[in-house]
Amino acid sequence: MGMAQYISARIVYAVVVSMIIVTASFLLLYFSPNPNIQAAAQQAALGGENPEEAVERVKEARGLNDPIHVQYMQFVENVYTLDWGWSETRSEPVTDAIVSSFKYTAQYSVPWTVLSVLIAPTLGIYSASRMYTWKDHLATGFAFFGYAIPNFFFAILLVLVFGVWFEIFPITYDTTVPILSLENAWQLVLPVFVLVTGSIGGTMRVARNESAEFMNADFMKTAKAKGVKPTRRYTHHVLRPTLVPLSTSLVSALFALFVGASVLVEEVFAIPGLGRLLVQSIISQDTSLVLGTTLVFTFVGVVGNLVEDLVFTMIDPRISYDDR
Amino acid sequence: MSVNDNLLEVKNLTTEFRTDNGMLTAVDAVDFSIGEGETVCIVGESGSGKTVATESITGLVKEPPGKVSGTVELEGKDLQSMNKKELRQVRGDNIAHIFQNPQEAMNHCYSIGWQITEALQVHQDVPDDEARKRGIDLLERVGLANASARFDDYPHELSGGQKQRAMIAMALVGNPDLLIADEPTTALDVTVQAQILKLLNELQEDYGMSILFVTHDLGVVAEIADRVVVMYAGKVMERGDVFDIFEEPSHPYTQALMECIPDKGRETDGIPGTLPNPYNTPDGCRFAPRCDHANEDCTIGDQPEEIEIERNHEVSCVYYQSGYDSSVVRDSELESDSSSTEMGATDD
Ligand SMILES: Nc1ncnc2c1ncn2[C@@H]1O[C@H](COP(=O)(O)OP(=O)(O)O)[C@@H](O)[C@H]1O
Ligand code: SF4
Ligand SMILES: [Mg+2]
Repeated sequence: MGMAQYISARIVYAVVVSMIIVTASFLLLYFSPNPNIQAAAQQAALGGENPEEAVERVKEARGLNDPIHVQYMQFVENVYTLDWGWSETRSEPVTDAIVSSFKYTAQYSVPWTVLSVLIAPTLGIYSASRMYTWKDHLATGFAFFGYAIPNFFFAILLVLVFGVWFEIFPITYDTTVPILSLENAWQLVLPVFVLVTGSIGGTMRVARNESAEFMNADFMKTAKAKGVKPTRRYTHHVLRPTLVPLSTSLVSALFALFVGASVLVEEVFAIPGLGRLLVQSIISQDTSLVLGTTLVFTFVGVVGNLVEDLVFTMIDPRISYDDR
Repeated sequence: MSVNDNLLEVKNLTTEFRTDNGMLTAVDAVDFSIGEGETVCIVGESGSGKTVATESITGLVKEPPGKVSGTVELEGKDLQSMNKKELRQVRGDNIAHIFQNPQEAMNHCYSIGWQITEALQVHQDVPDDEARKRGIDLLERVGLANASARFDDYPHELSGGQKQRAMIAMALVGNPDLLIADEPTTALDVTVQAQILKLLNELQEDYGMSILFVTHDLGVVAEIADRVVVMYAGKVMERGDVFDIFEEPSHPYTQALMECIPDKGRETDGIPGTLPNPYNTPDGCRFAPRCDHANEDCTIGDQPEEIEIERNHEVSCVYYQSGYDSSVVRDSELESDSSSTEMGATDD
């Protein structure tokens, strides 16, 4: 299989996965009791009307009496046209709720991702180049700390120490400050710090161990024999092959935190982002909103995987397109 | 060629490694020199210190755990006293290396063209298109068919022989004065091996460079060498012009290596016995534990001094010292060649 075919195959795969997710969501919704119908029935009963009739009315209005395949097609169309329904609890379209929350998630996710991508490989390769010296041990200790400490606990600890005791950083997130202001950057320091320590720990170890293999590779000797400087040997000859296992680890670490820890960190720091939106939609049983938020998280995952695979083919030309 | 205008002069080269098991001396006070346009072969069994010796020349040995001492002079300039920048310049411009395993010696993430021209980009600031042109010319010169297309190939798309050709191109890109080739044909199959040796011979004529060639196979030495240095357990056993070495191998170790050349009609399993423990080398001659002629003088003091037995032919064996009858070791070669049974005559 050539590269072009491989790439198209990966894209088809991503589309299929996203279809499966959409279909699964549809089936879950189809077979679970619809709160709107129950509400209508209840209201009708309270108002002395016939609940059965009320239910029929709602069903008819919402197309719930259509055959399953018609409902399914409608659902798929809605998903892909971003017609994700109405959020009862927030009284706005689901997409609006998502966009406004995403704005906050992006504010800490972008610096966090950028910092992780820069720091983890640098620290790992630095550690490998000083393997078994105290500098390596220090970096390793830092990595284990970040890896081992639960993010929400670390977050609370930091808020307590730097927010409450020393009053250096604000305790809760202030949504009224402009996005591009020093104040905003300042209040994002702690959440970003927590997430960066959480995500680079494991990844830094991967970078260290994987690059250690290449540090002593014969091609490093060749590069040295050609008169290439040590820094260039690291940035070109070690980093490039390390990027393959590294990006896998980094992407999964970032994604796991994006879904998991962001919820906790947003709760601790009171950032009204996607994680909080998901939690609140579940608590208040706002079905459309739960579905929409979940779709965002899964799409980020699918697209992230796709991008990662495509980047691989550029990093390591040896990757066989056949056995994947 | 006069002995004094050597391109490279190596004196007292010693390389030790600090390991978990203690200090190990891989190369022990070795001297050799290479004249301009000359091919010198270092030959010896695997583990003799050939690779370490050649990699100590331009500082490729990692320090620590390695520790290199002695002097290495390139056209009279001492490489040991150079700073890192000057040394990098020497590596890029004067002394090039090719290695045993071309597969491992190339970075699998970059095209061969990128790797061939890297030295140009680093040292000479050559514009991209010109570097590309020079890379393609070189690939053509080393005999890679369809060079302009292969320039963008990745190492895994080339066969072993093609990779070694690409490595040679990589080494030639800076027009080196000296090419150090460490067992460049060992990993290749026999027909390809012969082609690569032929190519090196041709390139040497074209470029007028010197070659330091490392091999464990005296058969290969015969193909390419002007002079030979026989190494064993970090020490030089014998050295001389290739003709003299083959005509009259004078050290028992060299003679044993001769027995191992495969196409001599016999099958051999190599020399009986193994190299001495590098952490604890025996007193006296390093070869004594495996030498048929060893006597009590062979196991005391240092490795016997090298004795010049004819012009430019030196041997490190007690039997060539005054007071010994060197015919004892010389005759044994005759004996094994003619299958005579003259053992009695060699006894004192
Ligand atoms: N980096 C190293 N650390 C410790 N010992 C080494 C190292 N490199 C080589 N040696 C030792 O030095 C000796 C000579 O090795 P080498 O030069 O590779 O032999 P050859 O090339 O003749 O086969 C061997 O005993 C080997 O184990
Ligand atoms: S010095 Fe002794 S042990 Fe060494 S080669 Fe000569 S005879 Fe053999
Ligand atoms: Mg070797």
